[in-house]
Amino acid sequence: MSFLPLLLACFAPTTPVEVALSAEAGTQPLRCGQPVALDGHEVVLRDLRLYVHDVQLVGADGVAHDLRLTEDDWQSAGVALLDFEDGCHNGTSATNTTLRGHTRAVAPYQGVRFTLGVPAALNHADPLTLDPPLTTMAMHWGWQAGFKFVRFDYRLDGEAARMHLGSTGCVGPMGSVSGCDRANRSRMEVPLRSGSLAARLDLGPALTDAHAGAGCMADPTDPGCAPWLHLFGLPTDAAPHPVAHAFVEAP
Amino acid sequence: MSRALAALVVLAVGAIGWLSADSLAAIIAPEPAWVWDLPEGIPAPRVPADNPMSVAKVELGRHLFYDERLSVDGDMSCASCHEQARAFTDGKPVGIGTTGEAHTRGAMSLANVAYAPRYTWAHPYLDRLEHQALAPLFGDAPVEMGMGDREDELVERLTADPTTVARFRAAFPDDAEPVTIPHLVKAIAAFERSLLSFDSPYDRYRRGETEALSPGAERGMELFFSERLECFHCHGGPTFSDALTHAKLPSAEVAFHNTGLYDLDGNGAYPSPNTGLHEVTGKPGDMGRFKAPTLRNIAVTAPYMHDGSLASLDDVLDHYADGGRAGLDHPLKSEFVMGFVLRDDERADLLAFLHALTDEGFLTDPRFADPETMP
Repeated sequence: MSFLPLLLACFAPTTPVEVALSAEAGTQPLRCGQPVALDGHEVVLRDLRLYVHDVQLVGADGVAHDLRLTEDDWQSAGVALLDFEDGCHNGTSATNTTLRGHTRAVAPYQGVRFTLGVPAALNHADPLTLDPPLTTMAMHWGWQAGFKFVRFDYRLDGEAARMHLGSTGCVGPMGSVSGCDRANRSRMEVPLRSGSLAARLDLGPALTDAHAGAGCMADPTDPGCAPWLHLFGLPTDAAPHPVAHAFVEAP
Repeated sequence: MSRALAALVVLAVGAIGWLSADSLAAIIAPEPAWVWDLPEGIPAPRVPADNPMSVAKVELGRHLFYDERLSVDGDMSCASCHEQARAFTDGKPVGIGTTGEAHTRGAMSLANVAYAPRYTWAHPYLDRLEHQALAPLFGDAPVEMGMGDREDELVERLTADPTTVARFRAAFPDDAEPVTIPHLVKAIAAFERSLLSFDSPYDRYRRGETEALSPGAERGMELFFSERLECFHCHGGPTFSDALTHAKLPSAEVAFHNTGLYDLDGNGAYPSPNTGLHEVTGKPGDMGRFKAPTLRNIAVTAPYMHDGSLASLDDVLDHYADGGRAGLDHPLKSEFVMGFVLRDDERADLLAFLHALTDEGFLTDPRFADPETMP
């Protein structure tokens, strides 16, 4: 039976996998509508939703394989909508905080990788022709002919603010965009603790910035955007060469 | 009767047995094709291939346009900010949404909106009413009708009403699922495209009714179209806007202008984030560039400019006579806003002409009115 391992390698079975994601500020969980104290500030999450795609798992052998996302209302065509709000302010009562799929990566997994955002072809498609999870108009960003990749609406010390990230400076109408000045898609790579299929999205580093109360609409010249673009590893006018982000971390 | 024809009659009679009254009516009296009600010399609008006009679709769109179920609190319809009597504006400096949130800009007139190549006050690419409608319905910055995240609820509300479902079915007869968000915005867009205003005293004068304009309005017309005042460069053509598209124009004419309304820093800055085209493109040269709105029905659409910051047509004339209220040496201003001197009698004539652009029939046409009051 010496050929069995070879046979198994050729027909490597895919394993069902579920990656759990949590939203945090510092080390505290951010729950919709619930105040969190952070370095002397009070943060309240009102809406946090983000699109990810190109999800991969790094296997025990160090090799990355796709996590082929299961098709449902949250995941389609390789794009997933993560939804950490439960309608506490506006939004939807349903939440979605896991990535579900199958992978050929070998357990125990060493890491998870994904790209924040919607792939260009789907991002700029005519929104009237798309399927879930790209039918959520609250995530559409009509003035940039695409989607909000990240929508974070919050209160900081009692003041309402919002941070919306998507591709900007896009040229062309919805359905036929030829390009964007700033794609703003960010690749995230996070090591996993052995045996734990979980990662935390930490908004804390941006929320403790002096400009965090101003919010951000992905404008690289806006000081209010600096902490956010920095968090996602994206360039700003002041810092054109982003350093490694601290957004996604192992639990 | 030939055998084939007899067979057809038998088939038809047999079919009547299981056809509903509605579909039977459709067979007996097929829906008339859409006809643009246009005066001679006005070209037909351009219509997206995936949303052809039909009588049933426009009628559905009219009902939806006036339907308050399209807002989260059920107290606001498209017509709340687009009142027919004000040429589909609302008399406010800026729009106020259903939650009380203020827009940065005022509601634009919908007169001849089908001829606009781009939508909103300043967007370089937003070229379909179907897409524009998504912003007031579902947008969050600002909240207007507040239906973001309530798409399912909206469809449920409309589906619970058999009369509304029947209207959707009549407008989209080939679709198994008639009540959808894409169909909703398509119907509203079709209704908006039907809002034609080409019957002002000025239009009648152009058609040979020389008495339609007063002598003062006639003199005002000459001033308006003069190189001295330059009004017509940006407010020309059938819609009195140089941003124009129609069926006979091979390529849409897209135009945005800085009229020198603001200069906050000596470099031409407009108040952020309401910076016109620049807000979308991020290009410094696009600062303060907005679309020239139609001047048709302009006397009933006060206050003026994108942020309603000029209360009257008199104020607007002052602004342009000054070469832009932010100063003659504005670095980003249009070359057509150079200032002029206007005598009092000339001002009265020009205002008389602007008033002669009001199309009373358009403001009261029952085809565009609230179906509740004008079925």
